[in-house]
Amino acid sequence: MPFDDLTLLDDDALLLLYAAGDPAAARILTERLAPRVHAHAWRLLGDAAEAEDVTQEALLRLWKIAPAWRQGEAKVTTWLYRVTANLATDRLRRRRGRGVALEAIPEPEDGQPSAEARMQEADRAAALQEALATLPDRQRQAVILRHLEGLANPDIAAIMDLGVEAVESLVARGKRGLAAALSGMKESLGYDDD
Amino acid sequence: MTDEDRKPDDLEFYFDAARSAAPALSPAALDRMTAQALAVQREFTAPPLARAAPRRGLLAQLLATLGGWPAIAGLATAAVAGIWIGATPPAMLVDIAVQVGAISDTAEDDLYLVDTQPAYVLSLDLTEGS
Repeated sequence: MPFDDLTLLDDDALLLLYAAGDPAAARILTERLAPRVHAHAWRLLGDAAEAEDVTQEALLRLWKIAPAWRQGEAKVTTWLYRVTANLATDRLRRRRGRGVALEAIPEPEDGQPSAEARMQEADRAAALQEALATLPDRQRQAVILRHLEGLANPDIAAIMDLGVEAVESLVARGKRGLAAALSGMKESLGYDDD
Repeated sequence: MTDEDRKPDDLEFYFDAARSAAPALSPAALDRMTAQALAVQREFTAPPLARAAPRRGLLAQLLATLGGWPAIAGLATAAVAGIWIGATPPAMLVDIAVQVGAISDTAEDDLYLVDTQPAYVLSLDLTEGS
């Protein structure tokens, strides 16, 4: 099968081909999954280097489990999001244990000269990242999966091993927490209500 | 919903911004992860012979050459049976041996069995008797 045709296959089928020894499947799966896992790990951790380590570890676990993968039992991305979240949580716990806590993230200062500049999109994203870091782990994970990764609640429930209602509750509480955290930054971000 | 429709503190503003804000994975990191995927794949798709086989000793190699323990058991059985038949040959076997000329039953053949040195036996007797 030509390389181009393989890219049309879903993750499950590609993982079967990978397990059967197809090197093209290895390349396509890495190119398809690594950026998603990395983005998710970065949103959970807020650190690009740590996110890269987590991505490498999560993918390594996927490759090792590939020969035993049961097609149709779970989605590859669901499994990867779960492994990524677990690895990220481990790192966050270690980080807290070392005392490099959320307080280490610089808080925006009210009235700083660059308040206007922070209207820029990148700064909004940075503000959200700071606000996400203030949420409890499970709320942060649920909000990221729902609103940044764009997953449906049943998928999130499968990833987090929860019921759909529990996911909805976590997302709602997470968003309230985010709104509260962001309102504290609003003035420094240069947003007005007019 | 456009930006104009939303309040400035609407979370969707932030989510939109954050969706495209994750740093991209570097090409070098992607290459490294691809190499890792291929390396793991090679590990479990390698033929069993390519894996390191334990080195066997000389006796074990000889045993394997002969066909293992079942072959040794067969050889031992054949050896014991051969000794047994040699020591107490059944009459049928003797008849067959005579027919094929393996043993003699004629006076002519018996010439070969004549003791050419009967005195030797006597001298032995004398020696023993002295």
